[in-house]
Amino acid sequence: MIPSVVTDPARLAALDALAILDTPAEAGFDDAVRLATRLCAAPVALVSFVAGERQWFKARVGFPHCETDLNSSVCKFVLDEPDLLIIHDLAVDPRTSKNPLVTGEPGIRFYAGAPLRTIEGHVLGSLCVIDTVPRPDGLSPEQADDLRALARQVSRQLALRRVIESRDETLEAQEALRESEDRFKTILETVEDAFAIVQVKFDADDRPVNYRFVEANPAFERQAGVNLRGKWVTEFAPDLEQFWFDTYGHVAKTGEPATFEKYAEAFKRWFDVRAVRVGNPDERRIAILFSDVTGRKKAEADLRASEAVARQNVDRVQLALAAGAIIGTWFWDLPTDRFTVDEGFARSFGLDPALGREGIPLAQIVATVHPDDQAGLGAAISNAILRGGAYAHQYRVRRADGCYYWIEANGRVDRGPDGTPLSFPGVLLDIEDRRAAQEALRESEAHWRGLFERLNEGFLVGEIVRDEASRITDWRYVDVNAAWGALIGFKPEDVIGRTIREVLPAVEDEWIDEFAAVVETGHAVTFTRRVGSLCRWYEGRAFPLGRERFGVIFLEVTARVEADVRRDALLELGDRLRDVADVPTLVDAAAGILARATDATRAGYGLVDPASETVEVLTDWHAPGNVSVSGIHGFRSYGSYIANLKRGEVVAIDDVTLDPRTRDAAPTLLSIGVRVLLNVPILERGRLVGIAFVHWSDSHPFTEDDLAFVRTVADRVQIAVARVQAEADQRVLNEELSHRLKNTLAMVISIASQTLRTVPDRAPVEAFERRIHALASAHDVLLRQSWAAAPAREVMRAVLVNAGHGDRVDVAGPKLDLGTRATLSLSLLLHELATNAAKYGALSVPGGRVAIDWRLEGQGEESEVTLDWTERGGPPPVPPATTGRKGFGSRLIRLGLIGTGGVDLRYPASGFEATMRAPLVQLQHS
Amino acid sequence: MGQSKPPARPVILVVEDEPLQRLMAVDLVEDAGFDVVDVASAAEAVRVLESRPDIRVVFTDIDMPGGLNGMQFAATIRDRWPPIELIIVSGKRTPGAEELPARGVFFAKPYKKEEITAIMQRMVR
Repeated sequence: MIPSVVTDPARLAALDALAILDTPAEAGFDDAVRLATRLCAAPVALVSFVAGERQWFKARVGFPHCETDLNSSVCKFVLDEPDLLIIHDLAVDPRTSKNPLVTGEPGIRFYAGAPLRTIEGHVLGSLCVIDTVPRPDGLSPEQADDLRALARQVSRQLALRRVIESRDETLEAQEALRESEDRFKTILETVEDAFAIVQVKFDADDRPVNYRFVEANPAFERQAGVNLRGKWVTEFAPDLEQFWFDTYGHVAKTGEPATFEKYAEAFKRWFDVRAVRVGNPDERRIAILFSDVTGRKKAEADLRASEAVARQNVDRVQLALAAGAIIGTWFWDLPTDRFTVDEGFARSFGLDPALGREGIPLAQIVATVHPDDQAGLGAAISNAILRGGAYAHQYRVRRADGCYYWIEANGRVDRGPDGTPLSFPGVLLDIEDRRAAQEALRESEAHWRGLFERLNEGFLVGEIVRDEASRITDWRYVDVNAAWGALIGFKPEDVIGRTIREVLPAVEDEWIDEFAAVVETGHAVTFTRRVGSLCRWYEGRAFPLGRERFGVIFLEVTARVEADVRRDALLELGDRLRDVADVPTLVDAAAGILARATDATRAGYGLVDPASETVEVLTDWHAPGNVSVSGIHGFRSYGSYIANLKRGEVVAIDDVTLDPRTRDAAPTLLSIGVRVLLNVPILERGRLVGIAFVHWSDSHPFTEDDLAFVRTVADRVQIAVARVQAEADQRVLNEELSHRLKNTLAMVISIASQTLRTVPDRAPVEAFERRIHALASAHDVLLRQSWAAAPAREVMRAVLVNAGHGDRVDVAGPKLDLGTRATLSLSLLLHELATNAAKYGALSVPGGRVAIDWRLEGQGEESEVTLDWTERGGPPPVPPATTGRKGFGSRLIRLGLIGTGGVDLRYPASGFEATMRAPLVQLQHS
Repeated sequence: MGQSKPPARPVILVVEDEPLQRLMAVDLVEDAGFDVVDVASAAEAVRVLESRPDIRVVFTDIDMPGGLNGMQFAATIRDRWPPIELIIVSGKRTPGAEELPARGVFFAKPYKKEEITAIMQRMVR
């Protein structure tokens, strides 16, 4: 017959949650059963847990087995009992008369069990005493009370196990931290920049000779074209320049970071490289972040070549002009329309030189001009005559060979005193070479322009602007390419001709000063810098282009730089969270890091009460000029997005005045400087418990990386908060348990003093009380150490002071921490020795003293502690009788430091001496 | 013509919510040769003090459920009945000197009977 409560799933779950079955023995439970046998004068006592198919004993006295099946269980009947279950004769009671332990060995007859009840009310088993003879009178009322009190104490020990379980939760939290680090790794793996960790190999003379890839992200492998992990660089680049080894070797050795651009012959590529040392310096590992800048380098080189060609062509034309290539002359009499031209002119126009000498009309001259150029020429001539003065025009003329040649006519219209145009003389220049050069220049420019427009890199040509004192104060956009527009976010046609200060009024001075320096020094520079008003980072190179101009070729690197910033922020966060022990400081540190890494104006972490829909912000980080929002806030005052948070969704609102969830609360939000907000929910078992928030007072574009970063920070804060809270809870529980324990010991003394009130021989009663006090003093020391290791010296002082001999015992020995078990056994042992010394030994006479000395011998696992108790100045000791039953006190002494003996007692005439030994590991075992 | 009364013995008020410990405290006081009044709560204790001017010493636990906690109770006694001596016991951490009322004496549980007896005898001398 098995009571149904045995298999109650809730009860079994509670037992399961305790995780106590099949665990090793523990002193607290062992003490309880020992006390139970003594108090109830029974040979057997058990702490029994009743599982679904068996009962298992956490502690037992006088019973050989550690578990039995349920058939043999009496304890299972306790589960239904409100109070003690007492069965006076098991052989008679119908529930137990067939029980194999009753009918067979060991033939149990009497049973009294007190339920072990959890705080939730489940009975998990019993503390029972068993006798092999029937007891018609059962337990005395005092014994029954004692058994109940002990069962309560055991139940409290079980509660202590929950504390240990909460320690396990802290471990789980650490596991979660590792997961969040994995997430961070994912970010690294998705960035565009190549990233690798390499280990630098040094030869016997400590010169760097090779390096091996420990880690490489996918971007790195894409750029390298092979899977690099585990490979030495010389495996795929055997001719790699020594420069790379030297540079990386220097970083690995000294920890000085390196940033440089370098052409690697082995790869035929240009690289922009950053290297920093990571990890333990002895490992000589460095992290390399690089990008392939071959494209950018080539564009720069092409541009310089193209500029050079253009300059040369101009020079060539000037040389041709300087040579004065005049090929003919003319004189045109306007009133008569007669052209007289020289031989060169006639030849150039495919005319008969004889006609030229006689004079011909304009129409005949124009006849050989290229038909496409005739109208333009006519207009230029009419214009010159009308206006008077100098004339110059270029056009093509057909010569005798039938081909057209470019010429330039340079002339002058002369007028009479009345203003009437009279004559139009001039010269012809052969400009065929000049036209060809100009054509080449145009082609070159078209080539240059095409290249310029096709670049992925942004490109601009700027011209510096100087003030009256010739200081450079600004620069003007002369030309920009299409990529420039995409990277900066303006239309090229809107900025050309304007200065950067007109286009970006809040631009940082460095963007002017650095390019000014390029123009003034003639040296190119590389830069990585942010335009604050655009929230974007740019990296590139500026180089001089002539006297007042410069070119800039650049890329946007916001994602990479922000990834760097976030990575550094996460590293800093990890350091800070590890050291912080209270929630407000922790949240404050995290919020500051969060805000600086996201360029926010405010950030923080709030604890949410989902029932009242409020959030309590303990402390926040806010930029100068922004108010704090610490305090308790109702979510509904700031919009209706709490529903999203409760579902675990990140709330990212680009503009509180536009988003339907916050539109109505926008004035409130704007009044505390929130235009953009990001809230990341923190859930525990599906319940909203906290939010990490980030605010921006002005518009701020979100990226997926922003969200991932904020989520990572929030996760870490949550884990750290959980850790701090678990530690605090543990401290509170420790104190509560200790309080209850001391009260229980006070109860034990009360029980004893009531029970033994009429005993005429007071000595054993007082001995009992003093032993309990010794036990209490040991618990007191343990409490001060939060139930961890207790310093041996403090344990000894406490017990000796408690025994009233603090000033007559000299305690000396090296620093030694004791585990909880040894603390208790050593306290009881010293109490007995001190009691004996006071009765018969050195402490029984005024001049006597006791010395306690201990020392450590052996190394590591083998270490052994030896403790000497030496009495001096007392009467000569008398060895105890070797026959007869020994008292409890002398048995306690013989148990030694850890309850397993190792005690040597000597009785020389100088005084009693005891030497006790125990392995250090067992003394420190908790 | 009256019967001569024996000289009145000092009266000590024991305040302790745990019955067994209260019993032991009562025995302790009686064994020390005093008269004893025992109650289980601070509220009852205040009622006793209001009706009996002969209490010389209050011996109180301070970890008691409900109403006044033991420390507040001790402070109340010090304010309302300044001559009464106070012995305070607790299973919790030893309070700092600044937490104890003036002339209050503290013992951690489990306390030693002989120490309590000694202090009581000194207080009523």
